[in-house]
Amino acid sequence: MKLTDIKKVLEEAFEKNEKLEEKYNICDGEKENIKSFFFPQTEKYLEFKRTDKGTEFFPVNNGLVNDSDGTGSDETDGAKEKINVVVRAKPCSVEALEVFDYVFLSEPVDPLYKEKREKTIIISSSCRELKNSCFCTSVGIDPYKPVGGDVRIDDSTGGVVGVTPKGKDFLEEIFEADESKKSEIQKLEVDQESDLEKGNVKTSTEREAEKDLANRLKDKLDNMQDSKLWDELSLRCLGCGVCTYYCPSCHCFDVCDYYKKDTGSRYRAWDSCMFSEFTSMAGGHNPRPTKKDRIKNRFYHKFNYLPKLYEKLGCVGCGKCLVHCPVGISPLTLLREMGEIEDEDKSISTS
Amino acid sequence: MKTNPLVPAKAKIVSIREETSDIKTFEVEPPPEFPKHIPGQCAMVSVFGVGEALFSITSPPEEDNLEFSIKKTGKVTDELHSMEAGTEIGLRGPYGNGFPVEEVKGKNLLFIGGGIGLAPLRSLIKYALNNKEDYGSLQLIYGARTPDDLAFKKDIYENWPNNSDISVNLSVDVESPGWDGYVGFVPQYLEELSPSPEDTITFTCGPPIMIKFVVQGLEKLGFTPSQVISTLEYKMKCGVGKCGRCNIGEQYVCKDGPVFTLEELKELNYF
Repeated sequence: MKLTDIKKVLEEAFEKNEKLEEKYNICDGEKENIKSFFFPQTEKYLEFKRTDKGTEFFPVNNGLVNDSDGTGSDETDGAKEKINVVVRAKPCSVEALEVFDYVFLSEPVDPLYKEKREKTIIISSSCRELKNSCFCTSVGIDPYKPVGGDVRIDDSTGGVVGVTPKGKDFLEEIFEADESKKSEIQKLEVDQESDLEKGNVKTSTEREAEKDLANRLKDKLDNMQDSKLWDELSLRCLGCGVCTYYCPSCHCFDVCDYYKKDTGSRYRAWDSCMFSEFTSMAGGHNPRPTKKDRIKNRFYHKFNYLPKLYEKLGCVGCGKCLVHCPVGISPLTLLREMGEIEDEDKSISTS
Repeated sequence: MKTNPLVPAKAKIVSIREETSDIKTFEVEPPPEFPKHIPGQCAMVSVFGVGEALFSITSPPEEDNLEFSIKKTGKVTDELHSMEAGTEIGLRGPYGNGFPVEEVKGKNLLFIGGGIGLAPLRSLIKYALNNKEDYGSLQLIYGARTPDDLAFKKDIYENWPNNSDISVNLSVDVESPGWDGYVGFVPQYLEELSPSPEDTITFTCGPPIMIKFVVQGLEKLGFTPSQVISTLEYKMKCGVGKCGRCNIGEQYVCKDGPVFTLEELKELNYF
């Protein structure tokens, strides 16, 4: 039997064993933006009280997160204790997580992110709904080949394999809870010597191909500083920031204080480099004063700066920005300009 | 579990000095775990309930307490200016690369500042004076709009002019009653003084427009891009290279800067 719906399989296993339901929370990676599991829209990390003597701190939840009121995360109290299991994590979403790992797990490590990342189990699978707006193949991603994840599913063989120790343990727990799943979930045959068996999320060949593409696009952009494209895009862009909110790899954030009576809190919140205020300073100086500066910075960040920093693109070709942008701007426009794709490659017009 | 780098430590304001009508210097007792800074490094100062902002540390590392000279410009600075000595603030850092104090040993140092731009330079000037044997001649060119706007009056009128190790050149932008010094913009004064680039490293901090013309002036005088060092001021939220706000190219001003050579800035297409 082919494993077509891991979500259903898990739900059935959970029904047979209440303990699993108490421990885990199933999240749908196809329906939700995976980044919100690790990087909530708002996230409180400090509570304080100002008194005559000074300031009292109330580091909540071991100094990490507190969701006790509306200024914090919008997770419910019940769900936050559970371990999130993200099912149907598509290759593009999983690739985007690598960008997050690079930013938040490099020194100084961000414990807010790390805690959630370590707790979450990602079940990566191939993409089942390639859309007109998808362009993952143009940025080097094979939508039918799952990568990364703690557990990996291969629809073509019907196999499933635990990649990381926590992924393996999770599978064992499912088998223990429901013997019948053992026959339903076929273990993917992996070579003892393979990268997968060693716990590597990518083979060295895959990593090399990724680097080659990132470096090629980086070099092309190095010569596009004065391209007219930036002027053209800036005339169309409304600066609404919707691209950054839907983008699975955009990670810019703001830090804000909330204060009422004597108590207050500090939290971080999603922010967008497309907003005019993003870099505007109190004294009035703004190093990226025009939309042209901001669009250029965003595309350079994804196709030039990130490749320079760690040889990986900051775009996974999910096409969400393209779908939601009111004026049809997306990295496709840039990829066309760079000669990476032909016009007829895509049926969606960006003008 | 590692501690959250975004959570500040508590620190007490020991004293507050008025520098100009809109600049105050805050002497802060650092929290015990706060590492010693390098001149040119910054720290994130918190006013709990209002927010955080990054300021350069204007005192040299040899002093026990930290000093921040802050211009009243926005929400956080307005709140700081209304505070009294003894108030508790938040502090995290130090952040940034700092001035290359080791690499420029043996060189003559030329400091060019405008307005509040003397704040980061002051840490370096005091450090160089404390370690005079390591450096050649020291010269300061410092200007502001009016005599009232010149900061660190005790240093620029008393401490430094009375110290034979440093020469001090002051200017104001417009004619002002009681001012018999140079009148004109800092870049003009630089051209008139025309210091020699030989064995000299120059450090310039101030408003972006001043830096732009000072850099042009220095190049005219024969300074090479590697001899010109500046600091940049960008909006920052995290201070640790993650919030995505202060990048120039792939470099983050908060961790790769704020100190850059003109050579580096040219590579980043900043100039």
